[in-house]
Amino acid sequence: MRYLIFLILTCATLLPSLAQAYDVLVVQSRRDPAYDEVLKGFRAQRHLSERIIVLSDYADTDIVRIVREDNPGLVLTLGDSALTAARKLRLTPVLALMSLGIHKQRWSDNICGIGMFASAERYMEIFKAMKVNRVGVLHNPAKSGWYLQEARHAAQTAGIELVIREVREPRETLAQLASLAGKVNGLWMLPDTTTVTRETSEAYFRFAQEHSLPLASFSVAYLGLGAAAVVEIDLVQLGRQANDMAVMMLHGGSDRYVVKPGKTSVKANLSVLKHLGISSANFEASSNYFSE
Amino acid sequence: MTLRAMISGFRVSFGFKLFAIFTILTALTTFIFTILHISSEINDKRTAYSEKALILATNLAENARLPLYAENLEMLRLQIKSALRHPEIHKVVFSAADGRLLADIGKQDDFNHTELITKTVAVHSAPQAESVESALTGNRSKSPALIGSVTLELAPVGLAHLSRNIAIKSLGIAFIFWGLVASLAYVGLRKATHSFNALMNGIETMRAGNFAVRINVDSDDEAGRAAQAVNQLAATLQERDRENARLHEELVAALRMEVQEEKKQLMAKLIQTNRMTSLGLLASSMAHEINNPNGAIRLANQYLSRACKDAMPLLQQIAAEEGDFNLGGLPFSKARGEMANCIATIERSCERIAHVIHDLRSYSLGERNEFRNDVDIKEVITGAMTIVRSHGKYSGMTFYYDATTGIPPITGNYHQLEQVMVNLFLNAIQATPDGKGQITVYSGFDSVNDEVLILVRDEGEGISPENLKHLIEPFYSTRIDNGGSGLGLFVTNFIVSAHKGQLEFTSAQGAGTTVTIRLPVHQSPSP
Repeated sequence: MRYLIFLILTCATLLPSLAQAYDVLVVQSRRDPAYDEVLKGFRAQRHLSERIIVLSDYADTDIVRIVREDNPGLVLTLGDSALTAARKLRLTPVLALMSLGIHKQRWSDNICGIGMFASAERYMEIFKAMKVNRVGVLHNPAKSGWYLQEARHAAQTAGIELVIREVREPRETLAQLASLAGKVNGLWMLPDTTTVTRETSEAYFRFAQEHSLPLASFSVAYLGLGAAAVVEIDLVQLGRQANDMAVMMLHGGSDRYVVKPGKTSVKANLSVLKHLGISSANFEASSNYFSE
Repeated sequence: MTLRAMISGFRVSFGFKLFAIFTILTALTTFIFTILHISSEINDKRTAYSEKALILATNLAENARLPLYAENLEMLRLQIKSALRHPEIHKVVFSAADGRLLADIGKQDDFNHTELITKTVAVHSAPQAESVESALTGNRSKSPALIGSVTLELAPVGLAHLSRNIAIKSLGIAFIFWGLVASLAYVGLRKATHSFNALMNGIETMRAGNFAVRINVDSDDEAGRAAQAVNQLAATLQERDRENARLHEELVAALRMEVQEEKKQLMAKLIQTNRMTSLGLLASSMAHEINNPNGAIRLANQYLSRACKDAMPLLQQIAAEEGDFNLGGLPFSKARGEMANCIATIERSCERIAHVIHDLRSYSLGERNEFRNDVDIKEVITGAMTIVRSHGKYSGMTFYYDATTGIPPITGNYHQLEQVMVNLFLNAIQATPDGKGQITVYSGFDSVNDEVLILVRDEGEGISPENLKHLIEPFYSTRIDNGGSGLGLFVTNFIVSAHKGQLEFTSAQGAGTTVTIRLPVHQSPSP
């Protein structure tokens, strides 16, 4: 009898542990097709066992407790909310994807990720293709100041002048945009959550339309609003890239850094280009095409 | 016909009522629909103004989205001033999302503020505008962000004038429509009620009694069918009228004949009654004429009796002395007795004549209402028999009278009871063929019922059951033509009933008739 009780207690203790043993705890901010696409690429590369937690499905989720109980090898976060929830982890490595806030501040050493800012050189290529040499750009230094440094360097290399306006809060965006009138012949919309909001994004396109400026943006969603070209991140490829990083981290890799997305694509609105009198011939050589 | 009568007649006519109802209903309907139309039109105009205000406000909201978000007051005021150039925009207010008033500019005019149309439009971010995150993930936000609101006051400047014009036009058109419909209705009703008028005229004529008139049927509608029916009815009534007239004439003729027949019978009865009255008077007169000589005979007989009584001793002495001698053709020995007999016979006959005359006078003159309580029924029967026997016409009849002893006197009228018996005797005699036969009379006393019983039985032809039912009806007689009055048994029954008695007839055809009279011994006379 004593042996039987011991056996039952052992099974009850070990079996759940065995059942919950996995490599990656995937924490999603919400259910989103874009996240699914990233996970699709993540799973396509190398198989890693995983458990998925969708934060929006629960009122309050204690990630720390789950990690302590499950002890996964890696926490993969998708979205800013997921990253914020994983901030309390100190030991378990965290790989942040689809997060704009990954660059915002200095995170603890266990957090790394892939940023959502495409390479500034890609944008410079676009501007060169559109024969734009003075590019207006609005940014919040707290959020995208680091990127502007790279951008300045890339612009300088490409022979393009960046006319930079700093925006501390969204309401300033319109005035700062207005201040660019007559000073630029191109406009660059950064994925900065201060300068680009639902209320202000329209102002970019209106300003660009009023002043006949080509606008380069970061999402194909803006092509329909009047963006001349966009640099879009390949999400499946982003997942693959994350898988590589995860495998490396699970195998003891000690690098803690934020890298840029590995593969991006350029898409252009040919109608806008035509209206602006920009030849699409130069464009074809350097980018993919988008036509409405 | 006066104008007033014509108007009055027109007012109560079917056509006028229909026309009045139709025109009133049409006017009412037209008025209601016109009011509804005017109301609807004005509402439409107001709605149009409201929609216009909404469009203008929405347009303002679209244009002011960015300056409103940026709270660029200068730009907002410029937009308001630009909007206020529109003559109908009275006031524009921009408010932030948290409700703060950012810009509020209106016109200074004396427009009635109660008529202002106010529309408030929320200002949202452009629906296609994306935040960074949604743009990167492609997950669009379901609801745009609220930026603020625009309140626009629109003064419907031309609405009052427009409403007045709509009302005038609509009412004018409605009045023309109503007039046109009423005119057409009048024409139509005249045509439709033409057959009704003809029908009514025909009916009026028939009501006056002229069933020969016929209504001109020129349609197959209800009125036409009614006219046909009325015509058929008139024809039937006319035929019935003729039939009634014929029957009336026949009835009058029949009544006339019947009256004449009854008159004839009545006259016969009156003649008979008159004859009976005359006979009574004659009997009374005859009694008087007979009574005088009868008195003289009695007196003379009394003298003769005294004379004989005085002469008899002398005559007996002569006969004794000289022997029997003849007197009046008879030997004195026989003549002596014969003389006494003759005198007694004369005396008895005179007395009898006097008695008959007395009875005749009493019968004819009356004393009908005298009720006595000592009426001897045997005396009544004997008296009646005397009267009847005195009638030489009935000499062939034999009377047999039997009476029990101990019959008490009854209360009654002697003469009326005697008349009852005379009537019964006469009927019995008349019922006897050839006036020859026996009449049996019986009287007795029913001590159980305290009644006196009288039976009169004849050997006559009897009474048929049919006649038996009408026997005591007045003026009913099978011998009217032979001098019968039809009153005998009626009077007999009346008298017996007046004495509280009963009269019964037992008869069979060919077996004679028995009449039974029951009279109470004590009774008070009828009033």
